[in-house]
Amino acid sequence: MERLLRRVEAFGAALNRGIECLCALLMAALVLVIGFEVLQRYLLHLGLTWGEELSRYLMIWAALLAVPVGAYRREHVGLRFVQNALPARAGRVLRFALDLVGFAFFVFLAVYGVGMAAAGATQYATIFGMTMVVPFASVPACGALTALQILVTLLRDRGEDAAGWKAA
Amino acid sequence: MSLVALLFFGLMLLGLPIGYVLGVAGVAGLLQVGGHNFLAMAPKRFFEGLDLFTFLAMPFFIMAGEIMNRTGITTRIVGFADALVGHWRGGLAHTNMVASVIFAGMTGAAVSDTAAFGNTLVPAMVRQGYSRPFSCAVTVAGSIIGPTIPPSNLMIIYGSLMGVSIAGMFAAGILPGLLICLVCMLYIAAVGRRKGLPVSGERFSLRRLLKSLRESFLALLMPAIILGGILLGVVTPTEAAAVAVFYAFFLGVFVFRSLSVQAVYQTLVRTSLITGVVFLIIASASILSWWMTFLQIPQSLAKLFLSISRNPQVVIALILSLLLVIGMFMDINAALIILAPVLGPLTQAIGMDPVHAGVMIVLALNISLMTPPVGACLFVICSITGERLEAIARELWPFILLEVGALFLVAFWPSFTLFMPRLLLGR
Repeated sequence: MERLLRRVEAFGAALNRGIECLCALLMAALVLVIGFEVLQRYLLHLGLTWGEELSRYLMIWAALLAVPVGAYRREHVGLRFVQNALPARAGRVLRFALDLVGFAFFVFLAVYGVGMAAAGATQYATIFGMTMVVPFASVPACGALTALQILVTLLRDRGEDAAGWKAA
Repeated sequence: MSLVALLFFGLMLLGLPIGYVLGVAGVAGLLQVGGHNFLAMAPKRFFEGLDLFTFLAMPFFIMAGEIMNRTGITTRIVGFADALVGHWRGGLAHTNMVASVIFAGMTGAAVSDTAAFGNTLVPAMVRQGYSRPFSCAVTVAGSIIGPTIPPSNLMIIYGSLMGVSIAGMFAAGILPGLLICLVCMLYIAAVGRRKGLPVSGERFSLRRLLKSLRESFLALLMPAIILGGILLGVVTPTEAAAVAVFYAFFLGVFVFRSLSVQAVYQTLVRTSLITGVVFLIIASASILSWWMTFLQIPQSLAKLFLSISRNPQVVIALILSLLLVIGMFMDINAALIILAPVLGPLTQAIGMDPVHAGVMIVLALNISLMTPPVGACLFVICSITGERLEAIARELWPFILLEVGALFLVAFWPSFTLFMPRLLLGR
């Protein structure tokens, strides 16, 4: 059991590092695209319009992929006073239960998000001409990865108060 | 309706993160009005809630602030502010306020101000003989200036959702921000002798001021670039935010040479993380707000307000009280997204200018960031300095009262707020 838990923790940490790396790449791409957009609009006058659409989708992907990072680091914070007022044991049970609620929500988002992304195959982005599957897929990806990381943190913290938990 | 409200308030009080609460309540709302057929709408609303070009300004302003913090620009700004007002009684407290105003020109969120000065100025103040709770209170009170003077994340959200000019709101935020600074500094000056606030002993010297100006000049250019670009109509807020990122990056890498590759990577991760936390709230809230619109809840709430009174002053007072109370308990981004569709039309019904109304709403929510029990800035300062919330609250309440007074002045005196947009943008 102990070994399994350690494996889960190691898996969560590795997954988180991977996602963080992806987030950083998307953010860097976003900065470059908008930087190029400003440059071409004011100096080069190329009249290109795809920058706006591309940057919107990059932003959504970068932000939604950061949601599981936030879950892993417990940066999505809620009110604390009821938890703090409860006896230690009840507080643990409550935090455990809340993790389960969060898990359920993101599983829902993943399942229904797949449906939306699949339906996006017949839609195309207005200017870019790209299939909408690519941007829509950010929602189920966010749902699945966040659900996974909530599960990891649930096993890692087991109801312990871990707000502001930071990756070592 | 009752089930959704119960889930919303119940889960929020129990401590589920607000971004999750909004989603769960929103999905429950969809189920309630449309059964399983409506559930497919949830991910769509979740996505569309974020699909706004103007939102791009938020991650960029967050990133610019993050880079600034890592390059030591904050310290230079504090040095300049100190050379300006540091020789007065309670000098460092005044410095804190003035530095907040300058910092406000580069940051869009109050908590980044709290974090920056909680780390630097609070220890410096304590060393000079200020009590720690008072130092924390000054820092928190000054943080409210950050998102009032542009750029401001809340103004970007409000402007994007309600179709109000973001540049107009940015311009309109300047005077209220300075007013907040002024009332706080007057209070510090008024209680300085009675509280025995320290005097640094250093005399004002023009040479020191010029020296610190030279050291911080490139940093001080940042707010000028951001505000000048937007307010003169040269660039859009999003473009200005991007330019700010490039400028901060340029300063960090080439001028101050304090930005390593590792720091750049950390900045990118941190930026997407902060953005992700806010965007989850926005995305989830748009599921819930669809349900609210479907049931015409905003209209009924607006009607309820107008049934109490049709007198604009009374309605404004009611709106401000509602915002200050809600902001005490709820994340202000979430509160803004949920309440904007209610308050926007309501303020129009009583004849308020949309820009004026937007700035008033944003300012009220900002002030609620420092009210106990759960003001976000209070939490940040507690966790940074290790000071007890109750002790800070005792020193903070005069600031809160004064800032609420300033808020009412802003609300009841439209020409004050609208002076800058009229001057700069010819509205």
